[in-house]
Amino acid sequence: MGVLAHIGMRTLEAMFFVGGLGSAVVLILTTIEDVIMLTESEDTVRSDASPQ
Amino acid sequence: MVATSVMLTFISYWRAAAIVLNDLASSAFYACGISEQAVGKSAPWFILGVMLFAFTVRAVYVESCSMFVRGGVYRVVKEALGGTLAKLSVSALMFDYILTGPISGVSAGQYIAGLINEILGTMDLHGWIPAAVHRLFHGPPHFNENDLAVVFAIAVTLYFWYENTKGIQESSQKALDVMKITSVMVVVLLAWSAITLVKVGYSPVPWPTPGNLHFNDGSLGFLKHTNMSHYLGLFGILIAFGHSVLAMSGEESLAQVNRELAHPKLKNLKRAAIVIAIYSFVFTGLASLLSVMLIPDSVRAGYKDNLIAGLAMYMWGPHLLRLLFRGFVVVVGFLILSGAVNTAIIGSNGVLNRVSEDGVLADWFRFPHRKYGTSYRIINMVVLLQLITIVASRGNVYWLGEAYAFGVIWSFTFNCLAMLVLRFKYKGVRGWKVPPNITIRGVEIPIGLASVFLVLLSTAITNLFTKTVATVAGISFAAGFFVIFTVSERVNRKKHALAEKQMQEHFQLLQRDTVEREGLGIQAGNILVAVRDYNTLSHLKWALDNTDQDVVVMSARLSQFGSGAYDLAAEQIFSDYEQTLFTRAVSIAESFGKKISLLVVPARDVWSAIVQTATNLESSAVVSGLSSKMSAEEQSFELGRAWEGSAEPKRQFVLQVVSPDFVVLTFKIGPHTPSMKNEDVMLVHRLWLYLTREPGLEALHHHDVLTEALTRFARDYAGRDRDEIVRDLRQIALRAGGPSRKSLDAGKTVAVIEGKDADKNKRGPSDPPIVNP
Repeated sequence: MGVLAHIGMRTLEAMFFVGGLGSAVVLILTTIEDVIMLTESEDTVRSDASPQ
Repeated sequence: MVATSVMLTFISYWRAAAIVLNDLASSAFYACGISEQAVGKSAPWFILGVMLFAFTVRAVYVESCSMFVRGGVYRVVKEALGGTLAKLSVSALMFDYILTGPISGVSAGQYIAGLINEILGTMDLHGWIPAAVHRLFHGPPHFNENDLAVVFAIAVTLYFWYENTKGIQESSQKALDVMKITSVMVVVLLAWSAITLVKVGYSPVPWPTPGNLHFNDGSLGFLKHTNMSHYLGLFGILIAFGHSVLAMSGEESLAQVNRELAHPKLKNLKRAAIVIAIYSFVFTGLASLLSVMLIPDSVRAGYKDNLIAGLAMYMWGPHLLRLLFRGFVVVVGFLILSGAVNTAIIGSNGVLNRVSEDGVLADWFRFPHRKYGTSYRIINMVVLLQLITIVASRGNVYWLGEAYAFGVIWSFTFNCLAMLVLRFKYKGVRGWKVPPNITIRGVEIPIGLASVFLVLLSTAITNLFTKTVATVAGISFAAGFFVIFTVSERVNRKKHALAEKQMQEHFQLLQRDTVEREGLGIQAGNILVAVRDYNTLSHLKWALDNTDQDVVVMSARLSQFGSGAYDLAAEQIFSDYEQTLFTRAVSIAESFGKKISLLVVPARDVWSAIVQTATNLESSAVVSGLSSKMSAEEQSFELGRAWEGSAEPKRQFVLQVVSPDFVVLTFKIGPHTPSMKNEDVMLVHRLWLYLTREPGLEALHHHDVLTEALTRFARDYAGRDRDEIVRDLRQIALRAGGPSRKSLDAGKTVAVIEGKDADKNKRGPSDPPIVNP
């Protein structure tokens, strides 16, 4: 296998690996953000429904 | 005046999610079958991985939608990456959109053909097929599924070609209904599968490790003849991921519905994104996993193109019940996949219209249909390309899936790259950013966005080497479009420079965010004349001939669903077409020696745009030409419905529909005093006479009689007499000339004014515009 092809393959693997790890962080952070957003909106609905 | 805020009818995030899922969830019907053929039995894990990764791609689209930029996708990407990459990006997006049609149509055909063969097989097993049919088929009756799928896909594509040429409206209600039925199917599928897992057991799905990957000859593509396949480690995982990436196709539709989302926009966009993410993960991901777990290995290849139908056939329970459920799966598949064929045409048409507005596609393509006013040349071109693709595929879903993946991955990659570059270039308002971001010496590093981009780019490059069909077809297609865009841009540059000069000479373009009477310098009670086709402006002549009020000529610049994530820039809203249209309108006004105000508003729905504009301008009448597609009554019905749906404050006005031979029909829009028959007036009067003779009722008015009668009627209708009342009213409606749904419904907000133009052959009306109804 050519050296260039080998380097290309390993570069793609590295990009995929690093990107995959970073994407996992994105997934976790956005999920936390989403859960907070959904909880907040429920609170709002509750407070709207029963104003004290 | 050019209004730059779009007059949209806003939709909830549930409806937005339904529209996107109609496209995204349709891939569940073919993604796993294609992936398993390419990488082997561990394919479902890759599909699940892609569906998880789709959460992050969705985040990129949320960020792109949260930017306040104007222009089409070409302009925005050009801002980030320059003209050449922007043209390549749009070409990839077009490849994605155009291929959505053939793969969905052929896949739906495969499900139908599979069901027909299954039913024929069952009938044959029971000896219900006559011997003559056996002789005809030279054995048990069986259709070639690929051929049948091609015929079906062509028929569906032609049907939607005709519908789009006529200009059908994308209905969020229809999308919601389809998703409701699909949800029923998904719930039954998952519940029944769970029972089957317990009762029958399952075949384990091999973990997604390099050792468990079994690539076929085609799935290594250009690497097949190299010795690279011996070195597959993580690279093998990357290849398998690339073969599964089409499971998240349809994600780009999220950007297309953004503009229609109700307030608070960003929050609702995120909510829609969550619904889409969870739904597609559960449906596409779990259905793929269950298919491999429950359909025996020995027969699964036979269901490669209709895997969910195969799953239905291997549930626990009687054969007839399973066959019925398969029928249900096919019906749902037909609905959602046919919808995707339509979405593909609408989306392609929308994107190419925007590209044309961005100046990289000749205006010739956008020339409106003489009768229907649609951009039929673009629709023809898109459908022709789709038909060629369907015939070339010969009903092979795997082949189509390979090609489709090229468009999907490259359009995502270009979009993500553009967002990454715009992080540094774009300094305007941005509602949300993909996390995490760290700041080093005052420079923000978008780690999250860069990570998603790395995954997309590495997958896209790998696909170039492993997907022969996709690479050849995709590059040829992209090159073809690239040439068209480049040539068109050069032609347009010269033409637009000339047009701009002419426009500056003839029109003074005022740009406003909202439509206001003060901006146009007109009085309340003005006449709003809606125009679209410069060949049919007789209603403008009529309005100018019969009114002394201010006349505003309004053209709604329609941008239907699929036309892009961003609003149009002012110069795009006032295009060549509007210039020609208004030039004619001005020359007509000059011939009457009158002044008119010109207004162009971008809109999603023409009826809502008219209602909102009439309300904002405090118009007393809207004058419209008779549509070639609907009757005057239907026009008034649509306008009345838009009036009902518009937000407060809103005001009543009249609609006057003028036919080419100057016959005028007038309708009141909004709640109004109903027209009363003479005998009803007499009845009220007689009752009033009797009642005023009663002691203490001497001062009674006619309207008091009506108030009492209506209050009692409402009470009876809400009580036990409802059925009797409805029965009586049906008889009255029947006597009045049959129950026309539209005329009855329209009666809520629209009324035809009595005494319309009696002499239909006379030029000029007897029914002038009504002021302050």
